[in-house]
Amino acid sequence: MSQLDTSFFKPFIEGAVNTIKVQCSLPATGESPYIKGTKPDMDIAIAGVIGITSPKFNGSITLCFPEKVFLGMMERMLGEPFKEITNDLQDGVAELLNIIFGHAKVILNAQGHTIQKAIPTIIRGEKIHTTQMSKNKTFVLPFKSELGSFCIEICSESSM
Amino acid sequence: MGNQLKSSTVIDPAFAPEPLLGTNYLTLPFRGPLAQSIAFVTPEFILRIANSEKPLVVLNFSYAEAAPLSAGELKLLKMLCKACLDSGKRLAFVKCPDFLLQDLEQKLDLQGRFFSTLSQALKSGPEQVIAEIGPELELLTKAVIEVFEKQFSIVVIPEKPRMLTPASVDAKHENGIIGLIALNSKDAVGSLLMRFGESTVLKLAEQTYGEKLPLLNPQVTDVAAELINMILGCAKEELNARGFGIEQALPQTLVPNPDGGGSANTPKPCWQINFQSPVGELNLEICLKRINSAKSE
Amino acid sequence: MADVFSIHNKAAKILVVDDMALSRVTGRKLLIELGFKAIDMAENGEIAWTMIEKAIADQAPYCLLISDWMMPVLDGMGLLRRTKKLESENYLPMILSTAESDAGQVVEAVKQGIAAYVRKPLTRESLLSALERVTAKEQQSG
Repeated sequence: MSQLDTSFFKPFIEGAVNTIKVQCSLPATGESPYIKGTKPDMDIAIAGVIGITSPKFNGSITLCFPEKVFLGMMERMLGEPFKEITNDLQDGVAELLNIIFGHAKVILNAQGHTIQKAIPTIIRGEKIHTTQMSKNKTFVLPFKSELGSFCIEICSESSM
Repeated sequence: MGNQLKSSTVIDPAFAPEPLLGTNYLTLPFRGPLAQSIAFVTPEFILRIANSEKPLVVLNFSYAEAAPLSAGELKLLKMLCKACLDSGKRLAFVKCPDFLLQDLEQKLDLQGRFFSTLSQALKSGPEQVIAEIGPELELLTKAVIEVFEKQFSIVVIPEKPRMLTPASVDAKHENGIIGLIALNSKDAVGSLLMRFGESTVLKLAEQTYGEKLPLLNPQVTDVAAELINMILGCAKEELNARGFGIEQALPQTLVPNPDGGGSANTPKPCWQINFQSPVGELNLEICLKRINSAKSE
Repeated sequence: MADVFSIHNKAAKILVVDDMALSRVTGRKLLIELGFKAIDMAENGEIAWTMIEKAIADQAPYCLLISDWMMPVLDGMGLLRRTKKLESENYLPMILSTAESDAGQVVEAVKQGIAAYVRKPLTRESLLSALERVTAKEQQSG
């Protein structure tokens, strides 16, 4: 897969922008997608991963946040300030990812993708490193907001 | 009260609150004029929320405009709260306007059944424990044993499975690598995660490749992904004979923190099995639920 | 022209194809343990195909392919379809190596023309058994 298929990415970009606007009252804009590794990686402190299986797309979607951006979003979402990422806050990533995924799933399934429900796994750390068992490229969909940047990584072993 | 939206802001029905898989609470965000938000609270919506498996419903008024509600609008909100309480759920009100909270407290007998912050709500109350996966645990345990025996000629011994709930305290795990694979189908949803301590995966890699390699070397990270792939492969046929319909997904490797620390967490409730092994820490986490179309949320 | 594969011919040229280093290296190790000497490896079907074509052009073709199923760029079944189009003198049997345990999927692969199937994790015994099956098939059709 060497080309970016914007029609596949678009529901995720729209879903992320709308979800974060509604859930966190935070306007965000999608920036140009790029292949992971061609630009410096963000320092990701928390990420939600959903594995997707379908005939046309077998891969994963990962929603990634630096710590400061995530804490700021959670404060806006839940109405109280947080100084560090706790176990309770982890669900915030899962919640956001589920809504974004749910939005994209409806649109992609209408296009014939037959993507099933999935549940997210949450990773916390510093400079989280993710690799997929696939030598296909991973695409990064970056977003910019007043709290900072975050991104969605998409990897698939099927051609899109 | 924070960043309030303009009065013309309306909740997009596409983002009307959805019961979410993988989280232990449900958030209903109220934004802009309360009346407009409450317009989405229909009898069908109430039924859906009440039937959700989530033990906790969070009504988030952080970004709502605290204008008075009409009698009809207040009635809808009370119906929603009552339906949640009657179905055994707890309620958390985040930044609820005082006038509303007082009225709800009085009319719905909320004493001890609501919380004013999410943190408090998550720490309290009985936890809903779903022991969904039972016999399948043994299948997956045997798959782990088989894969390690065949691939590395290593005997791994499973300890007693432990169910983790949202209230469980996360154990400390050695820094290392996680292999993760989704368990998805139209009949089931879940995930399979295996933790390898750093020294564990480095020893396995050295045994395979005959040389010492660093943690982030692709050949090392491949070990975690390939092993979880094989473990699922071993168990899949029988899991599917039991009606899970799982398709082989793309495995992943996660390194929470190349310098140490970090964690990866399967949505709870889930099962966790530690394995004793001569090479170090191995830990399997399994979450697997059948999707019931009548109550899939 | 390719030699007909036989488990007794330890000079047989074999290509192991797998995107995962663990399985690629394991496959190669086990073949060496079984006495084979000429083993090459490829990371995916496309690279394997380039190597196969080059080997034919160099008049040193491969006798056997051991390939993973799910690989990026070109997967095992895609590679199989290409090898099926080779001239009969360059016939290349394939052993499909996979973590997939679904019997239905395996039956499909057999219908498409794999010579044998072996489930991961590979063991000396399972690989030996697959090599013997291929040898028997080759002798029958020989």
